Amino acid sequence: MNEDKLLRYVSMAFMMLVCGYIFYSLYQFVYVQQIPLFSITSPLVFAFLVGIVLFICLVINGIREYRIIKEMNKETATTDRMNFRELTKVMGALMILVLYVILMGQFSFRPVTILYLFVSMVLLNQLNEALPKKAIKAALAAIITVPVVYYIFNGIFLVMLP
Amino acid sequence: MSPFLVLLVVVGVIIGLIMGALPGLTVTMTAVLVVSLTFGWPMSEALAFIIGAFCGGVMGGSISAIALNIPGTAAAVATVFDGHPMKLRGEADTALGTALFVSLIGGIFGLIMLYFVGPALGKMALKFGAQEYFLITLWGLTLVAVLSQGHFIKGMISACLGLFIGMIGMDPITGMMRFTMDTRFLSGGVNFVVAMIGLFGMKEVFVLLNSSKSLQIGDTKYKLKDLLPKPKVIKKVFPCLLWSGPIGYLIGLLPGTGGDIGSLVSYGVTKQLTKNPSRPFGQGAYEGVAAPEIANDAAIGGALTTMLTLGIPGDSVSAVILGAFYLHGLLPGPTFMLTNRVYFDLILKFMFIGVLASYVIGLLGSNGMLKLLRLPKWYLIPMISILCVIGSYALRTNINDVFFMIFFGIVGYAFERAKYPVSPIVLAIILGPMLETNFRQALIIAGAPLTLLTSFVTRPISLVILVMLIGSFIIQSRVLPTTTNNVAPSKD
Repeated sequence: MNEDKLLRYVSMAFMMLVCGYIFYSLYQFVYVQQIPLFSITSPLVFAFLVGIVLFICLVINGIREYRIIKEMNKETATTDRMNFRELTKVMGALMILVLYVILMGQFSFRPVTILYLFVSMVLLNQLNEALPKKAIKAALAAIITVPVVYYIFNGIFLVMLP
Repeated sequence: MSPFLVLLVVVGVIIGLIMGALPGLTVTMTAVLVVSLTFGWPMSEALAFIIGAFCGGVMGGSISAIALNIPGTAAAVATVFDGHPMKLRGEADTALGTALFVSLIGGIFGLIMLYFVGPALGKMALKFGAQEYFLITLWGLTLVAVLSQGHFIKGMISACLGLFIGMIGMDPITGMMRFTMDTRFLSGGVNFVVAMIGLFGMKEVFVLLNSSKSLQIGDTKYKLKDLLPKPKVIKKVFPCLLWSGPIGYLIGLLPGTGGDIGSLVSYGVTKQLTKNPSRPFGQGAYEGVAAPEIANDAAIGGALTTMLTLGIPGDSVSAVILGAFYLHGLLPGPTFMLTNRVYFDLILKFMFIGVLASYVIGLLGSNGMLKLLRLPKWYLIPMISILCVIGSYALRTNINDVFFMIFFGIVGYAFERAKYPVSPIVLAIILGPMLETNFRQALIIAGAPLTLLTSFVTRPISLVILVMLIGSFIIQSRVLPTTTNNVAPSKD
């Protein structure tokens, strides 16, 4: 079983942050802005109920996750190495994607997208081919695809691209 | 009905069939991208395109289910059980031909039921008050949380996250700003279409990064005459059509559940009820392909019925369509039939053209779609990410929406890997404001919390909904998982 311990921790931590933020905001509203919480017209009562339900679910889930992670710790180190390789790929893809969006906002859609597609396709091509061959394939695919995509979305769907 | 609208339905069907056939590109993602692209269009044209994509996408899932043993969409999960074994026996044409034909029947059945049940349900819903709407919306959310993959507590956590995201921005009743972190960025709230593109689309990009290099299709090639329905096969599967259609429609009708659950339940029931199948289930039984396929298309009608008459999505795709209505300033619900009957009639027509076009194009284009399945991952993954970027940018031509979309993509990926279901997040984002507004209105009308709780049992319609909520919760948390978990066929 290829479970991802790190992402379980991250997801739990993220949801605990969300829960904490809900209660912190409620505290700010009630004690700083003096907005009543337990009033039938209060804009906070639903948020309070969601926070309570979330808190209860996180406690129950935390106990379950603790037991599951204890089981996972008995697995070999190979699984952890495999998980970190996968996460590295995802983080790498995320960084390239964010950079692409930043550059697209600064420059224009077509050249930046051609560059993004070229880099992504070269990196994702896992076939046993020489790098120049991969680069040529990726360049051709990017140069042909982007104008077609631009025409379809900008010309037909009338989407205003940067 | 103008020829241009028919053309839009057909184009939508083609896109839906392609996206439905490609594993990893769900019908919901297709619908989300299509909705974001048609934002600036007139409502009738946008509906034509979206309904076409919906019909095509549901039918397209069976193509890769049969050819690759991988369902193209969640609604085609059960088709794999017998569809792929049929292909391995050299009967790929019969499998796909049967799947396409019964999908057509299922779609038309769902359409007929929508035509008759929709207005009747709409009239009944006119008597609904805030309590009834609150209970129905709560029903939808809890069902999705219970039925999603993984433990139901994780489903509830996902739903709470969606409710929280739905609360960001302006309070619907008092106008107070909530959970914006004092930023202008969040003062307008989180656009649910952007969240959907991230959670369904970009999430798949991150997931696909770690899957295998390419899809192994082999040398499958379809012949048109072999794809046409065979009388001996239709005669064999006819009995299961009688219960699979109603099962699919009823499950589609329940808030939050759709073709994926409908197809699994239908397969399970057919396995129980068919005493002399064409072959043992799991080894290429014709009934094993027909039952889930008719159910997943009948569920389209059910989901649209709930969406149009109650304003509550029947499944994640109808949640997207509901979003499309909101974007165009329309509010589906009980009065929708009275004030916007024209859109109801249009949906019926589009659905009819959509299922018919899906069948014809599915027959004629099946080999072309197989070619698409041979596209390498190194090309497909960046293309999907570009579509997600364009789709999220297209809504408000705001680059911040793209960053939000990427954020939700990472959240969706982390959640999926940590076994938290993603569907409850999306449904909660859409249903959350409705749930909150009706809850608070009901509380204000009741005057006190205890009075509110007693009103759920003293109001007849509320009591009926409450009983159905508890009953379906029990059935779906105990009976349905047992049925769906036991449907995976045993292999020799």
